[in-house]
This record gives sequence, structure tokens and C-alpha cells, in this order.
Amino acid sequence: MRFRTHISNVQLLHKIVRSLAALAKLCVIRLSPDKVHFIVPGNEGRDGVQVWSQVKVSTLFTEYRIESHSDNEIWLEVHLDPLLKVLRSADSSVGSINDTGRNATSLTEADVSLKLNKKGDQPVWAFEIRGRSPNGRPMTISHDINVRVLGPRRQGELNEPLCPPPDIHLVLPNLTDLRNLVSRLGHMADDVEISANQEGTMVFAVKSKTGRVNLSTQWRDLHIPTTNTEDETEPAPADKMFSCTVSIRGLQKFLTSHLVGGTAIACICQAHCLIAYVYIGEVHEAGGVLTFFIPAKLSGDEY
Amino acid sequence: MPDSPDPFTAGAPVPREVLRAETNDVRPFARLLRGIGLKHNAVMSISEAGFEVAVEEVRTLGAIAFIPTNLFTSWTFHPPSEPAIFELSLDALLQCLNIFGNAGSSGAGAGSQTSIGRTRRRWAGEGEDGNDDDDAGTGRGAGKGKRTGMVMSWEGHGEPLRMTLHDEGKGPITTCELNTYVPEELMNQAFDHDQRVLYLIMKSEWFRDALLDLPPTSTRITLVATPATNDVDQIQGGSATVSSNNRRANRTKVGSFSIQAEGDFGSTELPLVTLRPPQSRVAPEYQDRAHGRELGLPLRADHDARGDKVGLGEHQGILEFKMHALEEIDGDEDDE
Repeated sequence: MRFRTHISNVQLLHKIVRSLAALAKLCVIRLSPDKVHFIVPGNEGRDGVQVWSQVKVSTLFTEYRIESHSDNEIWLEVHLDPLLKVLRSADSSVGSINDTGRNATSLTEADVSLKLNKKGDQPVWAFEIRGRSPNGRPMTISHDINVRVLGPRRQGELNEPLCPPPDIHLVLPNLTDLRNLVSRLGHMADDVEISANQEGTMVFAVKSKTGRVNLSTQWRDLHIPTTNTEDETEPAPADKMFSCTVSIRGLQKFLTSHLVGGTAIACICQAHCLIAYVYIGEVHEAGGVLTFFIPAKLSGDEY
Repeated sequence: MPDSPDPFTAGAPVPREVLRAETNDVRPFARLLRGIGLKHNAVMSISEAGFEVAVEEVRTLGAIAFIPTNLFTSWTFHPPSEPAIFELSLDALLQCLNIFGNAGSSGAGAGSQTSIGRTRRRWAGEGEDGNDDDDAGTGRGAGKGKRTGMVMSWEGHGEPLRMTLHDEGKGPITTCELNTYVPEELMNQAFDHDQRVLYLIMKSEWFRDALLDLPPTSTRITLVATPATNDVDQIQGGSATVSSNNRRANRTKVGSFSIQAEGDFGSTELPLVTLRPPQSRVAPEYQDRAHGRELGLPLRADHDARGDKVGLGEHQGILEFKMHALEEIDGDEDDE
């Protein structure tokens, strides 16, 4: 089992891990020759939110090498908090290409590499940040984080959640604006009912905890992406609303991915779940997508 | 008192909007409401003059916001048969006005961050963490000049207060319905102006700054005023600015106002110089013990300390606070 790579886009990897760290403590990373999958499975995510995502290797890495006995795939379980700390350090060392001012910790000609190693019996991810300090001396910063290699049995347990074909797809408005609005809704209520129709109208409705206020926010003329479905059934009337009630906290976990900055498409499976696809980079470049499953809240009985 | 008979449908009530108010910027409205946000519920009263929104902490503190109609671009009021008064959630009202982030407490009003009571009790309209939680601290609307516009309507008793809010230049529209309730009796008595012993006008920032200068361990404050001498007439005609040389001399002529604070550390006194002599001649009257002592504190929204037109004529909003004194002050206490 071998894995080593250079991280060419530290900033993007940092943003992805920040989005995931808002949801859970543990993450499964499935490494394969052409894709990297970030998975926050069902029992890990807060409020039942799951993430099943894939990123093309070339979006994040260069000189990527992977070898294993199972189709050259390696499945790892990683603690997000230490990973986030390492990436924060790497991101500030490398700086961004557009930075004109240098911060005190940034290195010139910086390069970040990652390797799967073993310290005794413990597998680790060994990060190395190489570069030159402000006074020109070569410098290397190393970080090791413990990882757990997942065997075939655990791999078999990790399955994407089943859900029926979505009733409606639509392109969400700017996620940062949406996130600010939802956080204010969060002061008033725990749940939000999200509805949308083929005309591009989307509504977020809340009823306050104390019953003193009802509020709904409506967007119009949102873009409906074309989907190639081989659906034989009659399309629903354009003004029919499909809805799903989700926990606002769960929705906020997903909305932390506004950091990634890409287009987001939401799908509503009536009364079942909300699925959100956040594209990494341009949609047509297919650099990668983070997929969030947000389960519907069942009205009435508590678990 | 029975209504005049309805010409269209005998018996059935005809729904008619009691109130319709519109504005293209909710901030002045929200600011005044936030100023009295010491309780989560408030009693709102509507008239041709505007809103009166009152909150009270029984036997301790009461506040009223007088919100005039000139804060709105349009105001239509049809008086209903019963007085247009109801109770609603001030908290929810403020949260609705701030739904697009353009009326929150972030940014302006540094005082709200340092006020002594803040850690103990959440101010109305704030989130769990006590502030607006937009990304990047300053609040989205603040620097970009985004305004939230509103149309508010109410159809009478039993109906909710309805608002439609729109973000200037942006997509979404938010509609809210705030349930209205029969108001609880307001227990605090109205401030009796006939019993008033002291009336002075000053810049509110001076008073606020003086209070902030007091030691934070102070447990009680006493406001002490001495009346002007009969030389008041000589000062009336003068200009408002006095040189520092004359200030001390003038102070004894125009009277003085100071704040005393007591706490575990001991006591301290902060004198405040009054800008103008009191408007009315004041003699040290002693209030009837049955009424107790009260402090009324009206704050006008315009920052000028000019008190020429004291009435509620044209104004941008007035907040009036009323506090009960802690104990009777003995009649023969020494003057300073």
C-alpha cells in the first residue's frame, strides 16, 4: 500500500475540509487513481446530514501516486480537527497566488506534499511543507496526523443513502446570502420548510418556536437545470410546489460550504430529503462536487 | 359603543385595513424599537400620529418608543371601533425587520456591547450569542448601503400584524405574520408631569459617557441636582457657549447636576455641567410620598440638545424611559 502526492491547491483543500469539519468529527477519505472521495457517513454527521462527494485528482493534486491490492484504492478514516489545523498551517505558509502582502508565516517557493507512512504500527498521513523563509533559508515544516485504514468490511457498510428520484431540481441563489438569511431564521425556529416549483419559485417558511410569528421568504425566477431523465410519467404542473421540512441546524451545516464558492443545485424529494450539490470550480470543468444529503424531519414522533 | 350599521352586509364585519404603513428603509424604525428592547414582548398602540410601543419591567423600569409617521413613506390609518392596542413579540418583530441583515445591532451603537446588563439578559432582537451573526463581522448591509423596505398592515383585533420585507436590489421577498394578543395591563403609572421637580436637557452621549465612566462595580447611583439661583434671567439671553473661565461662575448660577455612585469600593461623584439652565424655574419641591420618586428620561432621536420646541411636534422618534427610585429620599437631606 503506497500513497504520496503533492498538494497543488492547498487553499481549495482547506476550504473543503472546513466545510466538512462543520458537520462532523470524522471523515472517510477514499483515495482512488483518478478521484478522491470525501465521505461523512450517516451516523457521523450532526442532524443526520451526510456528505458523499468526489473531486478529480487533478483539481487538488499533482504527482499523485497510489498503489494497493484492492484496485489501487485506499480507504482512510481521518479526524477532521487535526486535518483542519494542518491545512490551516499549510494554507498560511503557502499563501494565495493573489496575495500581495506577505504574512509572517508564509514561505516562498512553497510546496506541500503528503505521504501515507507508518509510525511503528500506526498509519499516519505525513505532511511536509517546504519552502524558503523570508530571509532565504530553506525550511521544512512537518505534520503527522493519525489515520485509520478501513478494510473491505467497513467499506461495504458505507453506502450512499437511498432516495427516490428527486421531484425538483433548481439552482440555489448565492450561498453566502442564503447562509446569512438561514442563520437569522435559526433564531426564530428549529425547522424550515423548503418548497420549490418548476417556475423557479422557492420558498423557505418557518413557524416560530413560541408560535408568535410565521415567516416565509420567497425567491422567484431561479434557474431550473435541465436533467436528462427518461421519465415516462407526465411532468407535474409548473406551479406545483414540492416541499421538505429540514432542521435549520442541518441546513446551516451544509451552508458552511459557501466557502467553496461554487454553483449549488438543490433537489427536493418531497417529504424525504433535500440533496444539495456544491460544484467545485466551474460546473462544466467537472472538477468535483460535494453532495449533501439532508434528511427530512418527521413531524410528530421523536426518535 | 355600537358601530354604525354596515350598508353592505348586515351583521357580518367588513374587513378593512386599520393600518397600512410603508417605508423603503426599516433602519430608523428598527433602531427605535431596539432602544426599548429590554423585554421580549411589548404593547403596541397605533394612532394617526404613529406608533407608541411600550415595555415594562414591573416596579423597576418602563420604556416607550414614540415612532412618528414621518419615518414612513406612506401611512394610512383607519381608526377601529376599539383602541388599536395589542401585545406582540418585540423580539420577533426585530428579527423580522433584520431578516436581510440591514437592521441588526452590529456596527452602530457600541454602547450595546458594553452595557452592564448585557451579560445577564438577552436584549430583544438579538441572537443567542448577542449579536448579528453575519460573516465578516460588520454585517452585510452596513458597508454596502443596502436597505430593507417594508410594507406593514393590520386588519384589526384578532388579526396578526403583517409585514412584507424586500431587500433593495436583491431577489427574495419575506412575508411575516406576527400574532397579536390582548395586552396585559401596564402596571407602572404614567409619569406625572405636575409632580416634576427637575427638568433638564442635555446631549444623551454625555449622560451615557458619564454612566460608562462610573466604576463597573457600582451597585447604585444617585442623581443629585441643585436648582438655579434667581440669576437665571441673566443667563437666558446669553449664548450657549461659555468660556471656561466663566463656567464655574455660571455653574452656580445655572444649577448643577451630578451623578453619585456607590459600590463595594466606596463612592464617587461625577459632576456634569449643564449646557443651558433648566427651562422651568425649579424650586426644591418634595414629592408626595405616596407617589415615590421617579426619574423620567426622554431621549430624542435628533442629537441636538436644543430644547426650544419641547413638544412632540415634528420629531424623528422619542424614547422615554422611566425608572422607579430605590427608596424615598429624606426631605431634609443636605444640598451639595
